[in-house]
Amino acid sequence: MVLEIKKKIKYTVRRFNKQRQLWLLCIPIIIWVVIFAYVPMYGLLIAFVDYIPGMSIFDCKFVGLKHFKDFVFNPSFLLLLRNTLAMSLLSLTVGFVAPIIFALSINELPHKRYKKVIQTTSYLPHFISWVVAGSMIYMMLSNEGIVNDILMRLNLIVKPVPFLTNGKYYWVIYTLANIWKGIGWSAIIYLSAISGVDMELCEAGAMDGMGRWGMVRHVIIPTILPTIVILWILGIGGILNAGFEQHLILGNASTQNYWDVIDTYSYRYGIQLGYYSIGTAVGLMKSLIGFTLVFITNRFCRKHLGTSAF
Amino acid sequence: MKKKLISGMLCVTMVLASMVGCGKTVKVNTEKTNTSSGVFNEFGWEVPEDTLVINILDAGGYDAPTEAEKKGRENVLKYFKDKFNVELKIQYTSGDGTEAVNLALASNQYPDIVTGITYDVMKKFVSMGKAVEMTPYMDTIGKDIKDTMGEVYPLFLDSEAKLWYTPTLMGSITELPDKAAQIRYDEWLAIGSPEIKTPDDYYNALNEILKKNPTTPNGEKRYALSFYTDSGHWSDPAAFCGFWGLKNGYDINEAGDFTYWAFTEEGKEMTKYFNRFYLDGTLDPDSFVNKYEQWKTKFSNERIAGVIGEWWISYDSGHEVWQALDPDTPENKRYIHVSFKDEDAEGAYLSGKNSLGSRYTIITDKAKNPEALMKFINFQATERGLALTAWGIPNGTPIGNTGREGKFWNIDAEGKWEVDPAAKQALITETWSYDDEYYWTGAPWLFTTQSRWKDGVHCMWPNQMWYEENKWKSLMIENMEGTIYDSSAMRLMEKTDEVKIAEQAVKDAWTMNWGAAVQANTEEEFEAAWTALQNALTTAGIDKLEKAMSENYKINMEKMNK
Repeated sequence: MVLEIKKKIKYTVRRFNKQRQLWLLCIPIIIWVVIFAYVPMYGLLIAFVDYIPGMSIFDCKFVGLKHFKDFVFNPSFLLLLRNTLAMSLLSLTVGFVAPIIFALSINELPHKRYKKVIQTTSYLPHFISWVVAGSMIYMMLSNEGIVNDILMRLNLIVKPVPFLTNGKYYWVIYTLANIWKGIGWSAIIYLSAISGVDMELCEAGAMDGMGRWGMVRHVIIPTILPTIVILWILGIGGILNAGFEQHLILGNASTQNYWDVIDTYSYRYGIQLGYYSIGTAVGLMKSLIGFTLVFITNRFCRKHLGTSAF
Repeated sequence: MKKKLISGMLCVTMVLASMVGCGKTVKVNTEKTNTSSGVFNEFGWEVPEDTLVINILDAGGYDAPTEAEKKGRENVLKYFKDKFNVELKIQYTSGDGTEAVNLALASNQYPDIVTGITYDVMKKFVSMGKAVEMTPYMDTIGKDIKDTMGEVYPLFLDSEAKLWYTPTLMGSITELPDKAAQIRYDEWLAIGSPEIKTPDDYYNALNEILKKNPTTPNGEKRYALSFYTDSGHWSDPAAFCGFWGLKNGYDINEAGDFTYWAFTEEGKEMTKYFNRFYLDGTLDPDSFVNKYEQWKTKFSNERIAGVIGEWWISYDSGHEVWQALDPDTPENKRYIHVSFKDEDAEGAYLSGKNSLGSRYTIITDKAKNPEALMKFINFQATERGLALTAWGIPNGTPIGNTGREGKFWNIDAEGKWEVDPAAKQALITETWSYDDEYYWTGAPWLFTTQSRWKDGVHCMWPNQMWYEENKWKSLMIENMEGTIYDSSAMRLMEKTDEVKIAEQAVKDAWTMNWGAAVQANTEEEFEAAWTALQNALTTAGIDKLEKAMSENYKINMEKMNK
């Protein structure tokens, strides 16, 4: 046993020595991560005390899991959870698949120049701020917006559809707005994965009579599957992140029952009211759930899809 | 070897680069200065021998300043340095100022004076021993502050009769309404100027106007009313209830017990009133979507015949815009303020005047010379001090690169002052340029009052004087008489965590549910939405808030011997 450990240590030291220049290059990054990502984590203690800004965390009254309990037993909790999960799941299904389909479609375009124009155009919404995007959506979907105007002129509706004031449309609008903004940007990684497809396999497939759909199904998708799986696993980790600024911009009083998510609640009570302990407790809880889900999903993917993030 | 050298150098450079910016701390000037010199300037300020440096954190939460505002701030700082030997170093907060102050407090990076803070934040400073007690100065170097506070001074004291803060802005102009119903004047004249005494009269008048002018000159549909829902700007049901006799959204019985509007018949009547507009199609369908700016655009485009809100919004979005675009705009093309009340209501309580203010100023434990700071704060409580703070630099300041100069008032070397006659005339005739004002204003507000001065004429707002000489203001004051009441005793300042959380939850509850009641399509739908609103409020803890409001009110009434 001791011998085995010694062997392992020796191997590690040898490997480290061999890669010492790479490790040396990594030092600044490691220092940065330690200082900016790990050291601040002591602030998580705020979740377990009644924190008062300006007072040392250690001088504040220790309350254990009180803030976690208060949040979970809060009358709004179920509503917040419903909204968060609903919008996250829509993003993880429809929102996740959309850029894959988009990347596959772009890849099928025959003209290189045309392909580039489409690709570049699709990135643009990513660079538009949510404030501007919100105004555009208001212009499109408000009661007097372009969409209602067109529908009325076509005699398809008698009175405007309250897209922005009726909560039942909110989740769909949120998902579509996210897809519109992010589809081009998110497709980049898939396009890059597709560019790594072995052309010989494609040629062999063509020789065997495979059509374009067959090529996508049997060659391209299996090749980009590890990328898809990794992104999906990481996406699962963010299941309790169902947007924030989008809701403050797209949402309004009439639809708050549908857009109020864990993050907006945490902002109102944690930051605006100055209850940092509540905000930290909610954030920590979200992170722990996300962290656990990533592990479970990773394990699932390793077992059933033969690929995983780690 | 070369590779090693390069990688080594790269590492060192990256480590050093990552460390840049670490360890920077804000230096706070804590020097004790000699504030006595025996030399007084024309403002009655004793100019200190050594420059008095005052570091201020202003929690007002401002938008990015315009060029004019930047220049104005620069001018003011220079003026204080030259005339007062006071160097003001002001940190302005953007966005939510409370967040910024909380962070400053958490990181121990706050300066000598913090102004514009909420009561809760002020209490945090006090509870941690980070605020300087002001009581010992109140009969000496702070006596102008105490005089200005007058009969409400006891309400600022804590349970041990100690004063820890001054209100950033207190007092009120008792005859000026805060909220009012407004109607397009020329159109109201055109329908025969029907009397407006009840909510129904207002409803009928607006509908009559719409019948006559259903579209704008551009062919766009017009509405009787519209709301806006920004944070900070809210079409607020609590205020609307004033037409049905409630005060600040509460029914207060003789014993001083509070009932929230959503649990009163008056609140339900008010909601049904707006639902009536909705069912008629005369309430802007985007009322619960409009941000203030979007609402303003509709208003300026003449799409809204009436508005219930702050008295000035129809100025700001109505005739001031029209007159700027077309100087030949007829004088009557504007909105006038009207008052009405439900027949069963005792009165229309539209403007609750809270003379205690809602933002506060403290001197922090970082100040090494609190007396000097107190003296400066007290200066703002004097007439000339308040004039300089609110009216801006006297005697003329260049307006950017226009070659013009602007001012609101004049002061001579002996300290004799007057409002500039041309400025006064421009304000009376409503031709005053509010954009020019930025160039000579920008002093920090540490202690100011809106109330009229001892002469009963002047006040800190240039546009709130000489009502009798301004036809439209006189009309507003006359029409809104009886709608203004003192709500100082209703102001709940001391709140437990439970009450604070309930207050936010109550706000969430009505925000989420009131709109559904207003936009109900049938009587059944309305009743269901109303019940949902009440249930949401009950779950949110409205009982805790009502109890706290009632108890606070009774204590305050006792303190004020009322």
